[in-house]
Amino acid sequence: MIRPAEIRPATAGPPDPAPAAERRPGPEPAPRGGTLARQRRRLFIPFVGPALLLYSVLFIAPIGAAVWISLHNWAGSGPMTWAGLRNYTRLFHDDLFTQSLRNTLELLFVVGAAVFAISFALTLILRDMAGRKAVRAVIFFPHLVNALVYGVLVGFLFNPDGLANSLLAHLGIHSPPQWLAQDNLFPLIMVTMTWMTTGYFTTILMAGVDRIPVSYYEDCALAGAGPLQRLRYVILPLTWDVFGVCAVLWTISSVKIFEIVWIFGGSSGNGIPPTKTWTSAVYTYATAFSGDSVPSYGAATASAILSLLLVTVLVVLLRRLMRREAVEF
Amino acid sequence: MTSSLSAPRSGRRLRRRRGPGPLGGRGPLRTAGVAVTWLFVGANIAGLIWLVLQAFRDTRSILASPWGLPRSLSPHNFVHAWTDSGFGRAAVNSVLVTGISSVLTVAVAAPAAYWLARQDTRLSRGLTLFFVLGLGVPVQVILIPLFVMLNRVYLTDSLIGLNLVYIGVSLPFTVFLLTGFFRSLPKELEEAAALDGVSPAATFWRIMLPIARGGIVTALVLQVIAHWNETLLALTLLQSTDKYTLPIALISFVQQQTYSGADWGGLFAGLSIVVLPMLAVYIWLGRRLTEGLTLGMGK
Amino acid sequence: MGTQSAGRRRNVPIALGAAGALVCVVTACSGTGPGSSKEFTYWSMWKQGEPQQKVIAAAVADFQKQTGVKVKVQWQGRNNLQKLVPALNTNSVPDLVDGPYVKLVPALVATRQSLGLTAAFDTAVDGTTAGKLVPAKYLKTIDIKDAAGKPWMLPYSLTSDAVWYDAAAHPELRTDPPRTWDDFIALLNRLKQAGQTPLAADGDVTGYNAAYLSTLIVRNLGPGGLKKIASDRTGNAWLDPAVLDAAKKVEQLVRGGYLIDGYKASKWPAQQQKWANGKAALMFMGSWLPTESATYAEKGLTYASFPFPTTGAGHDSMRADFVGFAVPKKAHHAADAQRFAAFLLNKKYQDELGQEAKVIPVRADAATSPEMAGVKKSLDSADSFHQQNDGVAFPGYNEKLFWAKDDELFFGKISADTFVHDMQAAQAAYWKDQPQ
Repeated sequence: MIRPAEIRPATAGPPDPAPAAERRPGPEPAPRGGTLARQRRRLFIPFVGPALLLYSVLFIAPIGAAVWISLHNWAGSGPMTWAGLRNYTRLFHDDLFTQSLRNTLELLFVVGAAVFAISFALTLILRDMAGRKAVRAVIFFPHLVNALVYGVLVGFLFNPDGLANSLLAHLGIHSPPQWLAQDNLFPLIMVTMTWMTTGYFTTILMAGVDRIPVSYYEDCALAGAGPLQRLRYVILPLTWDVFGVCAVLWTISSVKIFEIVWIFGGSSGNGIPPTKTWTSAVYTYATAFSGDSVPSYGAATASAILSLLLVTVLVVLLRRLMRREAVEF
Repeated sequence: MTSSLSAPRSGRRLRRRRGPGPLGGRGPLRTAGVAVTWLFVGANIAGLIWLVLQAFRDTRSILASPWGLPRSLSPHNFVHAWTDSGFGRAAVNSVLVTGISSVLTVAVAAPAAYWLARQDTRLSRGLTLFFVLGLGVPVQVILIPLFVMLNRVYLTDSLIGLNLVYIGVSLPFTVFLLTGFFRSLPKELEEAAALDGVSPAATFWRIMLPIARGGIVTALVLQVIAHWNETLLALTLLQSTDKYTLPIALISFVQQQTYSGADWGGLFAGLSIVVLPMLAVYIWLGRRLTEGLTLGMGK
Repeated sequence: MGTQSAGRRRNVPIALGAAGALVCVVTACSGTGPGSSKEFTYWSMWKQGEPQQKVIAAAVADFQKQTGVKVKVQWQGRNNLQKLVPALNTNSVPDLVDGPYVKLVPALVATRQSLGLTAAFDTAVDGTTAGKLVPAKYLKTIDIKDAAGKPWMLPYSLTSDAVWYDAAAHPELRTDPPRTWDDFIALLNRLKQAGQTPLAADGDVTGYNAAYLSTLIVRNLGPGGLKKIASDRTGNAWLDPAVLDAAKKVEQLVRGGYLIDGYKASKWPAQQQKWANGKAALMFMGSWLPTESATYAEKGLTYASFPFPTTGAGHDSMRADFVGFAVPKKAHHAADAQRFAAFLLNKKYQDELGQEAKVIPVRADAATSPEMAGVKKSLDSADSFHQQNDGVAFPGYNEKLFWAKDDELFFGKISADTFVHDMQAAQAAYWKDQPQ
């Protein structure tokens, strides 16, 4: 699809900022690599063994158990009764589930796009701004703070008598929006998510951009490229693999988004948030752990397995999409 | 983002202009961007200052005038929050769990990733995919089975059990990240080492690991950040208050401060107790954290 | 919402000696009975520092001293039952848990994991048995019997609800509270005309919103009425005129503009705080309101309450949610756990629960705080009772179906007619998908 590799500026030879990275798919060079590879193969047990064991026992086995549970009706304890695929079919015509899934996808794509656009813009702005390190440090910090803190603060900010409205009143706005109305809650969560994660990804992207040798920009300037062209032909292609990692990182974290939704609605986590804000992770949790009604673990795990399938597809697609886009330099 | 990219056309390189940085312009857009950035930074700092100031006030005055300033700097709220919350113990637990699990995750993942990156067989490709598939598993899927399994071996309500679980759930991403990283490292050194008769294991320890430092530090930092705030697993797997990690202690503290006669001043003091030391550590280590985060990113 | 709470700020030194000796006599201190060992584990719904926790902790200390049984307490807070469920699949279950009735049912009882507490009920306390100290009139409508006919719960306190007001600002309500719905609406109108905000409500807590409709349905159909409707697999029960009438009354509240500005868009406890500061006259809330709001209530606020008005259908039950102990079937030290459960019914601790923790102790003869006087009086004089959510706990029913739809009614997005028809359809779909 996209092959930006040819744009390597022709004038200066590529300087070598880091050990030259080379991607060499395919078999090893025949004679010496062969023995090396054979020797290395023997390291399978000591090298891969522990990871494989831990991963299988602590991750794959529970997933297997979860698949098993999802085929049953089960209240979390007591007898299990076979349900076949009924838990799954039920989910497909549960509007709440589809809506929760839609919310998850909205977080994934809308917040994802916002985070990346802002992070990228920030990266470019910060690149030669005074005090960039300080700014980066400040915007990164919100990511380290537990989401619960925001859940508590949001009430103070956006209650009808909250800080936001009293500020607006000073500016002469006396009929401010109903920030915390159920319909506005999810957008508010999305904004908070963006707030929390932008600094994190900015930091990562900045590092990617910083790795681009300065001489490339000079070449660009010599070639008369404007800022947008520079962005398009130098920065984006050269940070493509950083984007790739970030995209995967965001995808896998966004489908797990749970705490922030849980505490934003329903009195800081004491009650259940309004269903309009549910993500598929919240749906799973509420189905199994709401505490207000008999838990149904079968349905809960079924919904979790469905989101697992969704993410797997997304991650595989992402990797397809991002593959081979990296530029070596 | 991808749609804006297309194959470059050579005709574009004709005009000559100078600009310092990547988006080097001095246009209004950039000025606005800088302004917004500072506003963003300012809002973050203001929020934190507000939180700390409110921590010195009592519930009634906070509710009456949320913009108000404290009338005295009495540490009463802080003392109260500290004794009620168990944050001290929880912070120690959190540091232990986060530290140990992050180090072990990377220690286990790095050799595996190296092997997977350097082998190109059906087995290694299959295994790589096997690990990558775990990337998307939401933790809630495995919550119940994990609990039952761990309980069989007496590892629920145990920080060791929590450590193990954190290692297990972090392996997919760490292996994914490090496999990519090792793949990007040159092979010449290993080949030379092999010619010199160095065993592959020794090559890994003595040659590859030092080169891979960047990637490993990054993987470590990413795990530290992820585990520091992990809530769901800790909430389910830990029962005793003396085993609570910081997020769980925070949840129970918030519940405690809002149920039993809301004490907002105490709550804010508690939040400050959690946030401020982290801020201090962050100011102290932040450079290394953000640099470590990105050393091996995508390389 | 498990927000039973209290705001005790003093820690009264406990007269260990005298009361201890007395208790020892009546609880058979004479060594360990059959099947009991020297310790048991208790997962508490209270957090360290809460007033209830302090009372129970004192009881634990006394119990240990008198019986030599070590009580291993985890003060887990309201998540204790959620943590219990996965643990029930293992062999290390706690021996004793506590919680409100509505949370114990789904966690423990619906899956038949609870132990019959006959031993606890038969334990001698203050010259009688623990079981006899639980007023029999509650047990007529609150079903705490398991499949084998044994009680699975030993309550130690009650939560109820009421319409709360400040008696200092509205002394007239003390002498002449509204009794019927029409009286109530008339009162709301009067308040509105006087330029006051009649009703406060924290609309973000869906369970609170649903309390209006649940209570009105129970008023129209009697205790168990809502549960019967919810159990109807066709959903047609929602089309009953009595149900529509209840929904219309909620609509009347909403359309009448009686509810406080911003109730649709605030975060708990914002509106509760306003009520406690005189910005709204009334609030329909659980009996925990006085303690929960004590720290920010305006000075001079005198908590008083009257029961939720009746609708003319002749039903005037009081809400009575048991909060109490249950023992999992798999418990290894069930005998000692039951002894402790009964131990908390000693008058000493019951009085402390009433006076220090300011909840309503289950024993009828226990002391209560002045704030609870109104509720206590109504409970004492009532002869029928209903549960929070009228005991409805079908999987996902409340949080996914009923409360979500009720919010639309309570926020004025749909009419009462639309609401009952929506509920009919949604409930039919719900039951179609439920396993038989």
